[in-house]
Amino acid sequence: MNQNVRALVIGAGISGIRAALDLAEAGHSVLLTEKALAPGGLLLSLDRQFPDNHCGLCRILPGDITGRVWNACMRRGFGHPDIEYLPGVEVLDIQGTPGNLSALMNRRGLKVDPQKCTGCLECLKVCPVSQPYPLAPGLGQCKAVHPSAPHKPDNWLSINPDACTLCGKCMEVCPTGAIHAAEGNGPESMDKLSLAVLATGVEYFDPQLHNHLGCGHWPDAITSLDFERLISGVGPTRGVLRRPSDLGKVRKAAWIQCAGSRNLKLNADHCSGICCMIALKQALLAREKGMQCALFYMDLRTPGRNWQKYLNQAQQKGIRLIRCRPHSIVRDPGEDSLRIAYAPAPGEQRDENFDLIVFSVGRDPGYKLPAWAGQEGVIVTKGSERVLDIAGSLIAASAAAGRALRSFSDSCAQPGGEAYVSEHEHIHPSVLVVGGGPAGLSAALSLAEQKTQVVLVEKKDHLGGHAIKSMVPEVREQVLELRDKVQKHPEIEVLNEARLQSCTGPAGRFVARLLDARGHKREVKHGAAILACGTNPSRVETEDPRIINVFDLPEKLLSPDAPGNSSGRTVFILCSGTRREPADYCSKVCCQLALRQAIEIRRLNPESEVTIFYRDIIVQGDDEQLYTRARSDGVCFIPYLPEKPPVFQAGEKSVTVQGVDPYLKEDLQIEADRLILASGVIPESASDLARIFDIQSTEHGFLKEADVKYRPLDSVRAGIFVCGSGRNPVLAGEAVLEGEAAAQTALSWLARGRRNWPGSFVRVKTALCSLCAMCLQACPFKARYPDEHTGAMAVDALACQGCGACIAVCPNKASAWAGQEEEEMHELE
Amino acid sequence: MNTQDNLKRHPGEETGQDLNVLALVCNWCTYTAADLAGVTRLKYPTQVKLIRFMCTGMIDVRYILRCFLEGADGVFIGGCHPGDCHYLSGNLKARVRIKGLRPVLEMAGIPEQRLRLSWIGASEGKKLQEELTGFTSEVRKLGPASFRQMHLV
Amino acid sequence: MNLNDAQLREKIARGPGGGKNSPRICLGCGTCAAGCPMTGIEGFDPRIIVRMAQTNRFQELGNSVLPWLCTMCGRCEESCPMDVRIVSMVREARGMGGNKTIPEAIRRGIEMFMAHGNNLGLPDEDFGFIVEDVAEELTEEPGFEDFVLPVDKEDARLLFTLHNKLVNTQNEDLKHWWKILHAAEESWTLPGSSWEGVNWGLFSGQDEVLQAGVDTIVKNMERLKTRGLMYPE
Repeated sequence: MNQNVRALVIGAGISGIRAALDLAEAGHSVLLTEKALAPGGLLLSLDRQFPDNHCGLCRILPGDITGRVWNACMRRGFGHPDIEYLPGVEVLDIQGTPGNLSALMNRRGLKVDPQKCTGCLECLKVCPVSQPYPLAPGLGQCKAVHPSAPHKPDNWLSINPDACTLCGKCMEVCPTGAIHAAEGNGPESMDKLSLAVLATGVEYFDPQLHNHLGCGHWPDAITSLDFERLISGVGPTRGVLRRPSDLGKVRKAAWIQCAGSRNLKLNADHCSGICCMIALKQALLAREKGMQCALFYMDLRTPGRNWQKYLNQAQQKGIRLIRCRPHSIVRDPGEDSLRIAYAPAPGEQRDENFDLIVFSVGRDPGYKLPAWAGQEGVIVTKGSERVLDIAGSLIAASAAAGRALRSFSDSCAQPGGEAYVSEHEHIHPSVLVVGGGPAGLSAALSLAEQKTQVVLVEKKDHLGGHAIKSMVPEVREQVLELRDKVQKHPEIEVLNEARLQSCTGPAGRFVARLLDARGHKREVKHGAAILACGTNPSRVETEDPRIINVFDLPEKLLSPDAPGNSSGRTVFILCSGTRREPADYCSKVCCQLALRQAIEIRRLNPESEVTIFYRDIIVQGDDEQLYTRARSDGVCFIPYLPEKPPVFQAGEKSVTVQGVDPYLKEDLQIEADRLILASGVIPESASDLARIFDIQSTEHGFLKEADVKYRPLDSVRAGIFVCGSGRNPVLAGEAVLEGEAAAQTALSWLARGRRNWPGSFVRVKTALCSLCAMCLQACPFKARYPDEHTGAMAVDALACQGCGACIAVCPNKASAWAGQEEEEMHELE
Repeated sequence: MNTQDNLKRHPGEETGQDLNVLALVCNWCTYTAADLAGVTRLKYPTQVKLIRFMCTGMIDVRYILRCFLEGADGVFIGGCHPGDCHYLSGNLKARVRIKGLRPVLEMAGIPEQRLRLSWIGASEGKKLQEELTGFTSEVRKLGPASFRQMHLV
Repeated sequence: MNLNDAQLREKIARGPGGGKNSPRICLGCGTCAAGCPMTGIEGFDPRIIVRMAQTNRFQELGNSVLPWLCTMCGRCEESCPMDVRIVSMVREARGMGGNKTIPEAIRRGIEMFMAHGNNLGLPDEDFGFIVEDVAEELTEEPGFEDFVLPVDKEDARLLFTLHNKLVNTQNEDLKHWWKILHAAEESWTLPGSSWEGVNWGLFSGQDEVLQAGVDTIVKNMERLKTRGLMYPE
């Protein structure tokens, strides 16, 4: 362990915990601060997450039950030998230079000693302060001293320093003297920090403050964050949906999307990205409890390979998806409930009553990072700049940890190396990266810059993937820069035109066999593999030169030297043949690409007409500005229903496109000079790779990760990682981030090779083994394999997570916990 | 100390405990829910004794049988909701196993109401309380298990 | 208005107020239609207005009755998340229809105004008689015996314009504010001619009428050297 690196992670939500774990697993000492007393942040409020309504919060813990890490549900807390958790601490400022930073921290106010607190709640009775309930401000009030997190058995009570008036009444009545003034009642400085990672998340829009849609008057108009508390088993109503105003039954609920986003009047020309999915989840959970649900939206943003299905599920379960924004919320005096006015189609205006109205809030337009966040040595996670979902936050956090370590190059970890796991096992200290696109390049470089050997395998004759030809200058430059650095780096061996044939060996001792550019066989030993094979544009089957795939829109069409090439009438059809069976997923990259192309065509040819037929414009974050710009620049947008897509016919003089303008309720026909189709991407190489590396692929052929939310870059096999579009369609910039994160995750894995591994959790009594291979089938982590030396099944110690499934399934009782005798198994104490 | 001693320490006649219910729960979701029930002062019957496993997927049917043979009147198995399992699919294995076990129990003279499998999420302290209380009542209606008197093991 | 196709498109695209308020930026979210009191009546919907502007069919819109169904209440604009100035767009469309689409009452009123300085076509002499009559009635009320109606008084602080109904069917209402002005000892005056306060150029979308209305007021102020304007409409 390198004692020179002392990392500070600010914020112990899911991002901060992930970054702290990555830094700690790579061998550094970490200080993790959190303003609240309980770690977990927003996730403490979320029982279930999209897109499968499961919870997997426990899965981000390293699969290691030797007692180093506290192995229990993270809602109860978490512990790690190399992470010092400092609750109730707010970081006010950071000064200094990388390697020698100082953080100014505040632990003010009164504190409750968790060792002495018995939870008798006498202090609550006398506290004079009333404050909005911290986890759900819209749901009511509580005292300044309040239960900090539902699950935490210790540290159960905390005192909000912002609300506490220091009157001391609680101290007087506490029978055990558990309440006392915090040490050093003022800011203190923490020095000699090597680096800092800011992972505090963003602030959310407050519709009550802005009286958005007139909601300021109505307690039954709440935010999506409040709703999570209402439906949570540990919320104020124990998961029973009740109206905040009178605790009456909720029969009908409405969700209003884009609260605080996509609104120029609020200076919010951005999309918060995941509110659509959150609302669908909440509506599905409410529907399970028998509510009628309606969702008011403009575009339903469900990008990627598995969010479209969630949308389909919502429709099947009877959630009404209404494509329009409501005007205002009023109280219906006759009905004692709230009423919304909305206009779902031209000339149609409706009023409808709801018991509960939920605003899907996004990032507050006024949110800013603190001034000290911009200084050198402080790395800000992407999740602290914009709203990300769980997988996105975890990826961004790992990437941030990696970036922090690389920028502090002196401290780079030495993974693998000489340390032996046991006499016979160790993890080979090198990584095989498959795929030379933005994700692969980024992963390779991140590893190399942290002194790890990399072999980068690419099947084409050049690096850079599709992104190197991107029409976006920033993307092209970024990928070119990555490519140049990778080609020059001494730790990276690049094999172009290489074809992988097989990969064998247990976890950490993989051997890949491939054919190099000249057709010669090569064997590459590696301790970890990162699969970043990417995707390819799906084909547009036509000979007609006027019908063009959006990915193929040749650069010369948009060249400033020949603007006439894109003059006249251009029509785009988005989601052409995609987002429905058999390709029932969203490829994410096409919408923003089409917008950029449309803007460019208009710029080059101000007289031209550009029309885009779309189902939903799927852009997120600041890419919303592309959509705003395209509209301002005169591009005409026509939404269509999936049942009634526009049809086209190539004629002699033009391509005739027929559709319907839903606002004017008219059929329209455009004689286009060219038709651009956006038909998405397909993961052509991924299923092959999945087969070679013995991991799963999805029904559409993407690489499957161990957990789509909580372990987005791990496969089920220890030591094999997946990232980039081959896993889930992403934009080039996101692929770069995923590569960095995958590299960091791989490094944590390689670092295990340096630790004293206690041996396998499970042992096999070889004399009893009949090689029936039931254990092999039962193991979800592919940690069982037949061992030719012993003639029995063996356990891959580094892959085994100690779940005991193989022990339960063996018909001969040949599998047992290592170090336990048979009789002890039945000592149920 | 083995189960038999454990159960013998609380025979109905001496301490007023009329039933023995063993709850085999997984470490991640259900045990957390049990802790939560404790923290939020939710009571469940004292006849229930919790035994913690890493995963319901590691519960061999032999353990369940052993519980009955050594005098348990009811066995409750609590695991994560399908899809939430820390080890991905352990609870699904438990489901299949228990389904296969029920006819065997019937043949052995143990009515299947004495065995319950329930999915309890980490936030569902209340649900755990309801399940354990409900299960104990059901077992009480059936009376003590016939195996108890036999001292078979 | 004699603009060619491209110029017309650009004018509409830039929109009244220009730039951000252009109809192009509309997303079709329907917030306007949800709050509009006229949605659904005779096929009206503010989205149609904006869409026709977006698709270069503004002249067609101007030739139709749609712009005249709008009450110009502004509920659409107030809530539009893209800050599209729909009310201004409606006005613009009204102007494009020319005399063919303007409702008869307003068309005649404008004719009267352009010819006689007020929407009723009331000669100045008759105006004088009417207001003097009302003034005389006021002097018969206790406390207002010394009330004198200032007409064409120079150097007053405030010039007042009138809604034409106040000299038509609702003369009595004149007294209410005259009493207040008298009690406050305010320095004010009515103009003897071109006293009209209701500028139907605002409704008709005809900028030249709008301009004319403003011009007459300015001329009156210059003539009478008043320092301020009280414009109740």
